[in-house]
Amino acid sequence: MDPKSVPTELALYPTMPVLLVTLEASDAGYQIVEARTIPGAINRVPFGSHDVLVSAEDGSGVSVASTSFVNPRAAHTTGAKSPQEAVLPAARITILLPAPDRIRVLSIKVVSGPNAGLETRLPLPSSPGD
Amino acid sequence: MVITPSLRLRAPGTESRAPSAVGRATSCWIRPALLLSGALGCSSATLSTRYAPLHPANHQAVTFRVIATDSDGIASIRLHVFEYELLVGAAGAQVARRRAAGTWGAVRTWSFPSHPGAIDESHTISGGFPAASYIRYLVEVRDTLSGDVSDSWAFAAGDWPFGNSPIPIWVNGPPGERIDIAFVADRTDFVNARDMLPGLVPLIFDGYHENAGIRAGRKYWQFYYSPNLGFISDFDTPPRQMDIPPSVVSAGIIDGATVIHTTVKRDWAAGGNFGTEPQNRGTAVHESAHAVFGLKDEYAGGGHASSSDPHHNNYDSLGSAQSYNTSNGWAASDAEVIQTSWWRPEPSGLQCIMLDDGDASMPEFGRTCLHRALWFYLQLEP
Repeated sequence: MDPKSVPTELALYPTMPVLLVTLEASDAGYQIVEARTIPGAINRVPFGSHDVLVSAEDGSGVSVASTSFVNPRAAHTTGAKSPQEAVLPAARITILLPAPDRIRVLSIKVVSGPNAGLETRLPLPSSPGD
Repeated sequence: MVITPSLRLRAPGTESRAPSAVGRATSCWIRPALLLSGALGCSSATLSTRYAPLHPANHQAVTFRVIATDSDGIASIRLHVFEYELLVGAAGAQVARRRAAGTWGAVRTWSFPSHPGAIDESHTISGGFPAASYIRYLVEVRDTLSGDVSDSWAFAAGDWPFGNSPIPIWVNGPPGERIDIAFVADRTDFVNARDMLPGLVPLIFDGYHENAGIRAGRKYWQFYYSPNLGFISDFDTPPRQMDIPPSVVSAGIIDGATVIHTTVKRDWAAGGNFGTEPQNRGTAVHESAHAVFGLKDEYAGGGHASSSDPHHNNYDSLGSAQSYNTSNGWAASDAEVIQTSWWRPEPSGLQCIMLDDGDASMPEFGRTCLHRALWFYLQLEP
């Protein structure tokens, strides 16, 4: 940062319209709880483990975005002493996707953890706007 | 080149300008790519800054602290502070605008005729800042050979004007190119979220920033806190419940949340979020490494999975763990069994934090996990 050229006005967070999707995972599978467009920031690289893969498709079935996330139902104790794991009966996770106007379907594949092997396609509500 | 976790790394984000006089650039910051390639050609110089209290109240005194070392000798330091007022901009955007008659520019200069190799200096703005403030600061350190390094961060001060949205306490760049962590005060122990803040000072500055793998990417780690309270249950007392405020979950910029509590609980993690006591800094870094880097546990009974990501620390065959080692210039024989069907490429003797989180102590990342962290930081760059 050059102290001679510090901007006098700035946006706290450069954001763009993104699709916020809240998914709920349970023994019954995955379902969309909420989908709406908000200002947000998409990370340049997926964070965490790729336990669950998501492909966002347009109305023609073409993938317009993809991401992954850690299995939300997999709980583990912190620390190495007497480690334990548990499967949460239900859990929600929120993801952000670019190109909110184009996304119509989420294709979900659970690679590891609870619900492993599940592949499902979830249509978004007809108007995922604000 | 073998990268030892104890190596002190200059944090990327501390900039270096070429000396104006004839001389050599004696200070530099180490790009993760250079570190991975083994091109460590810089002098042993370090710079870290901090401020306190986190999210100062209206007109509460704020102290800026600079800790620096330079084998070439430190000549001077300059602290700049830029005061903005927060307001709602177009389309509801959170905007900061230079405050009329506010602080803007250099506020303190230290000169060191004796050219010490290490300094620890502080400057206090006793009147603090009014409500709805956003403060950016810049520290410039010059050594005796005119090499410069700098460190710059921003934070909110005074009453936060944006409702329940996460409050920035340590930020410097666009969220899409950063790791954005929100701390959530557990209602078990806190009535006001601000009461959690004193415990975050050692967690961030003497915890996260003390770990070499985090310090190497210090620039990328941004911290916020939620004005709303949350909760995490004890793992041994079902139903297991973790409440992260909707204002954090739906903020659009937060990558993970940490519920902070002082009552001792058996903590757990799920969905990239976890709980911890503020003093358990090793636990915090270990769990953050799961949530951010996708690293797995290296101890038996922990979470294990393979991954196609580069520099993964779990392999489902001895052969694959050995192949990873040899392809990175390490001995195949270093691979060790974790438990049935899982191997770790780095030996237990490296005492990786993913083998033992250390609770209140701070183990370092082993070589594989350190490489993973450095690789991840590179992916955040545009």
